[in-house]
Amino acid sequence: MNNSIPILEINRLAKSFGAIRAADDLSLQLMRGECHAVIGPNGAGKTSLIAQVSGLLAPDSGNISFMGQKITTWPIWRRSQAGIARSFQIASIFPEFTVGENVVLSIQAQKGHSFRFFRNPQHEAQLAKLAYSVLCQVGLEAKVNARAINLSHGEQRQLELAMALAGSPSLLLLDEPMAGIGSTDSQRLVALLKALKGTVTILLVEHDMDAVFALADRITVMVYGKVIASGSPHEIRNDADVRAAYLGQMV
Amino acid sequence: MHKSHIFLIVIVFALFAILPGVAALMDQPYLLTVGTKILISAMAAVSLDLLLGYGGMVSFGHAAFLGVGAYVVGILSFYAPVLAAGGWFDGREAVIVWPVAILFSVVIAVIIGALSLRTNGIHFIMITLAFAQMLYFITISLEPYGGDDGLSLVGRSRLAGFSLSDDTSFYYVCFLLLAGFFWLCQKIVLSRFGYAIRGIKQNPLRMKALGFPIYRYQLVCFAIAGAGAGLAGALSANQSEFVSPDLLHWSKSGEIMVMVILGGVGTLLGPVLGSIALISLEEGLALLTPHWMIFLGIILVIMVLSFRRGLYGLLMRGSNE
Repeated sequence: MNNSIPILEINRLAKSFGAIRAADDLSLQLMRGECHAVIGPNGAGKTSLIAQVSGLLAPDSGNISFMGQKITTWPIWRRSQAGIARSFQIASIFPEFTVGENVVLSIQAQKGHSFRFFRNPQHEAQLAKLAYSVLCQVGLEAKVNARAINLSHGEQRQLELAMALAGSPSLLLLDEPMAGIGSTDSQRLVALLKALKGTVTILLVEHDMDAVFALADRITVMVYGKVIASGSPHEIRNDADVRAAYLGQMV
Repeated sequence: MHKSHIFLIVIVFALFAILPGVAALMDQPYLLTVGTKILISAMAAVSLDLLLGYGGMVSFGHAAFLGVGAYVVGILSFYAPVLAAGGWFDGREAVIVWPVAILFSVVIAVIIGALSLRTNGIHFIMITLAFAQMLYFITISLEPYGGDDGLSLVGRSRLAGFSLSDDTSFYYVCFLLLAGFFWLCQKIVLSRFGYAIRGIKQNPLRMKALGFPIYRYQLVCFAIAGAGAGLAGALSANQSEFVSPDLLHWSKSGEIMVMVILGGVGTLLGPVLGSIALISLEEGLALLTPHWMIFLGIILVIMVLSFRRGLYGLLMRGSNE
């Protein structure tokens, strides 16, 4: 594996909502296997960035390349099939399905087409085994038969992550995975993401600075759609502009 | 699948199986006619449930596919002498005519679906209704085939050479086709495809983010539902030996939807129960009073307000489904 070629290359991205700039000449590169955190105050355009990379939002200009291919005009599902998975800030699950069904459906998306009309995928040993191992990874295996709607908020977040991991993506976009979960759960989540490091490239948007500094190989700081700094955690921590704009007394 | 769900399926289909015997014992051939009507409507309702209950696509134009299936049978019957003289094929042979009817309904369903699925919510309901109304007015203007007055068939189709003019044979053909279609749908909703369309109903955005091209899945679902309704239409034309634009009227779409809602949306068996209940009520109340529609309306309102999953929910109450 060549680690010097960026897996994701964002080039001069621009996106405005009226007068608000969500991306302003935004360029960013993610190296294969790294965990790249994007931080910034509310309204900096972090969630919009994830939306544009995942295909939910079309940029006004600029382009995005993934593994050397321009994906700027690809629909969401095609990017996902190419290996870009995302988690949502607010858990986006299938409430009527069980936890197991949620994960099997997520794997199904990446394993061939689903124009199969007879066999129940829940009974496909390969899918079930994979689903179970993903659930073990996020620590939700005990709830495999519970309906997703009956899960606690924290468990729904775990399921959300399991669904993103289920398709074994090469790029994982995580939109505030720590939001709204307790400290024990977030410690476990940090440990899980640490274990994933190296095998999957992660673009992490997160407000929890402990998690960001524990996980990130590189950090990009955004304000009003602009990158104001990008570098190693050590560089960011000592960057005067960043301290003024965002970190303040936090670090 | 839940045990009590299977139990209920077995009971309902067993009752269908013995109905001709009961009708004969009671010397009430009329019951057989009503029973056939129930089976045919049930097929249309089950196909709509696939769209509405599982795919979350509230199509208000389902009668269009019913009508297309029926008109294919009617028009082929109209040309049966010409076709026979030309040595083409028997225009009354069910093995040929019914699949052709299904095929036409599927084609129409794909066309209507392809355009309608670009919208959603209330727009989707309105556009499916609009397409169905368009087809309704086309059939009215089909002067060679009776236009407004409809078209009488030369007779029922023949199944591999056997006559279906006997009501009991025809009933059992409808029974077997409904059982087959029901089994197929039951399989589909628990297949990969079924999980995909149910996922789209619950959370389309997540489905896209997971990598599902949801439009294609919805369109195929539309085609399958169109096939079921088309076959129901072909059977309906055969039962009454008559086709008319009434089959495509929007009120027919409404009636099928009422069956699904009354019986229980997203349950497959519910629409069968809904068909039994609605047609029995119609026939029964019509015997009692000419103002039966008022009473039917009141009963429907009570049913929908009282039971979340319709008659199916009522019968499954107690089981922990």
